[in-house]
Amino acid sequence: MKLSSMRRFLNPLNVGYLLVAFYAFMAILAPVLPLKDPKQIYVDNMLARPSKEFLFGTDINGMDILSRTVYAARLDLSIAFAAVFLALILGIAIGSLIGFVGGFIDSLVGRILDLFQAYPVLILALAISGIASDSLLTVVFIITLVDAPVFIRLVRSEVIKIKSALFVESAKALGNNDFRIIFRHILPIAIPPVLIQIPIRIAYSINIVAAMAFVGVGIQPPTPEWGSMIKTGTPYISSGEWWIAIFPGIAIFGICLALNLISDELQKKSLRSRS
Amino acid sequence: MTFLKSLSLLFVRRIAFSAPLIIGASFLSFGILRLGSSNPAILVAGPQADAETINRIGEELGLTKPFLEQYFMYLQKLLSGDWGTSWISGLPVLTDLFGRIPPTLELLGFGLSLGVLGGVTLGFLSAKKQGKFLDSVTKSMSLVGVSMPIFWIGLLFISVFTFNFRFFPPPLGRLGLFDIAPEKVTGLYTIDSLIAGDFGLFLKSIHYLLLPALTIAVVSGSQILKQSRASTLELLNSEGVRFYKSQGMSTFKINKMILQLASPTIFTTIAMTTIYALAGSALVELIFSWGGLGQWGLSAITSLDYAVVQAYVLTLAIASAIIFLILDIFVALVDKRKLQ
Repeated sequence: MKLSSMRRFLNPLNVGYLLVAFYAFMAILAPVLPLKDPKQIYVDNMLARPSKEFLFGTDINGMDILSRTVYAARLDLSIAFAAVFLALILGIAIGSLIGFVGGFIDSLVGRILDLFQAYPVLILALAISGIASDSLLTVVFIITLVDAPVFIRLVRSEVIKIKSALFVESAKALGNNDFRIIFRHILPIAIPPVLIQIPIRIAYSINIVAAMAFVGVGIQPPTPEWGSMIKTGTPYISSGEWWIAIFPGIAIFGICLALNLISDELQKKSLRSRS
Repeated sequence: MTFLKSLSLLFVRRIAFSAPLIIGASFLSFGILRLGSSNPAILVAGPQADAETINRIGEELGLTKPFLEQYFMYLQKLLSGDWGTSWISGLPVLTDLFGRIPPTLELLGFGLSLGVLGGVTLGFLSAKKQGKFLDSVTKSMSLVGVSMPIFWIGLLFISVFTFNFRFFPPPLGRLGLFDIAPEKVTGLYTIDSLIAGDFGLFLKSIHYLLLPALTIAVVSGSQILKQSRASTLELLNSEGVRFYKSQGMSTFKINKMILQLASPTIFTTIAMTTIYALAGSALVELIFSWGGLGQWGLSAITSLDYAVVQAYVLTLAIASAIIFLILDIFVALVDKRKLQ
C-alpha cells in the first residue's frame, strides 16, 4: 500500500519538481553547506582525481570542482530565471499591445519576430556578447533578447484569439476602456497557456549561458559557471582528466532534464484539459 | 509542365519572402560593429593595426557619415563582392568563406541525415507501439538527448569512445596529420576520395567524420523523434485513419498514408532543427577542430576578427533562407495544394 502511493507520488512531474527544488536548495544554501571555497587554489592538488577530499576532483588551477559546480548553480540559475522573467514581462507587454491593436504595427513586429525564428539566434548572442562587455547584466540582457520573441508571439496569438470573444465584445459595449479590457478580461485568460513555456525556456537559457562561456564570451573564469568550467576541462579530456569537464555537464544535464520533464507533463495536462 | 511552372512560381515567392531575412541579417551584421563602445574601425583593423590603417578603414566604413548612409555603403560593398579582409589571416573574407563551406556541409549533411533517419523511424515506430517497451525507451532517449548541451555530448563521446575505447581517431580535424587530402573537386573528403578512387582514404574520412556527426545526430534526432512521434500519434487516433482501418485497409497502406500526411509537419521540424544545428554544429566543430564555417566564425568572435564575424552572421542568414526554400519545395512535392 505504501509502495503504491510512493510510486504515485513519484510521477514524472513530481520528479521534475523535486529535482528543481534540489538544485534551488543547493544553490541557495551553498555558502552554509560544508563546501570548500570555490575560488580557493589548492597548490598541492592540481588536477587531482576525484577522492575523499575532493569528491569531484580539482582542475588545473587546483580549484575544487564540487564546490565550483554547486556555486555555479547560483549564477547559471539566477541568470536563466532573471532573463526568462524579464522576457515574459516584455512578452506580455509587447504581445498584448500588438495583438490588441493589430494593423500595421502588428504585422511589422510579427515580421521581425519571424526573422528571429528563422535564424540560429545562439550565434547572434555569441557575436553580440563578443563585442559587448563581459558583465553579468549584459549576459542577462542578451538572453532576454533571445527569449522575448517566443513570449511575444505566444501572448500575441492568445490575445488575438480572445479579443473577438463575446465577453470581450460585451465588456466593450458596457463602456470599459481598452486598458481595463486588456488587464481585467483578456490577460487573465491569455497568460496561463504562455506560462507553460517557462520551464523549457529556462532550460534553453541555461544552455545559452553555458554555450557562451564555453566559447569564451560572457561569464569569465575564475567565476564558477558550468560552461566555463567545461571549457577549462576540454583540453584535459585527451589526457584522461575527464572529471573537470564531465561533472559540470552532468549538472546542466540534470536541471535541463528536470525542466524538460516538467514541460512535457504540463503540456500533456493542458492538452488533456482542452479536449 | 504546369507542375514545373508552379514550382518556379513558388521559388520566386519564397525568394521574395526570404529577402527580409537577409536584409535584416545584413542590418544586424552591420550593427554589431556599432554596438560596442569601441571604434568600429579598430574592430575591423584588429588590435595590432597602426593609426594609418585604422584611419583608412574608418574612411572606408564612412564613419563620419550619417548612420543610414554608412549602412548603404556597407550593402554596396557586400553586393560588389567586397566582404572585407580578415586581420588574422590577411585574406579577403569571401575567399576564406568559400573554403570553409565544404567541411561544414559534409559534417551537417552527414549528421543531420543520421538524425533524421533515426528520429523519424523511431518516432513512427514508438507511436505505433504506444505505451510498450520500445516507446518508453525512445521517449527517455529523446528526453535525454534534448537535455544535454551539444558541446558536452561531444566531449563525453570523445572521453568515452576516443580515449577509453579508442574506437575513433583523436578529435583533431577531418583527417590525420600525415594523411594527404584528396584532390579537391567538391571539397567534401568523403566524396572526393571516392572520385579519386582511393577507397582507403574514403574509409578514413568516414572514421574521422563519424563521431562529430553522431553528436549532431543525437541532438537533432531527439527533437525530430519527439515531433514525428507526436504527429504519427495524432494521425493514428484521427477519425480518418480509424475509418480506413475499420474498412479493412492494409497496415502497409495505412502506414504509407500516415507518413505522407505527417510529412509536412515533420519537414518543418527538420528545417527548424537544421537551423538550430547550424549553431550547434559550430560548437561541435570547435571541439573536433573541424575547420569549417562554425569554427571559423566562433574563433573570429573570440579573437575579435570582426570582418569575419560580420560575414559569418550574414552567411548563416543566407543558409537559413536556403533551408526554408528547400523545405517549401519538399512540402510542395508531398502536398500539391501548396503549389496553387
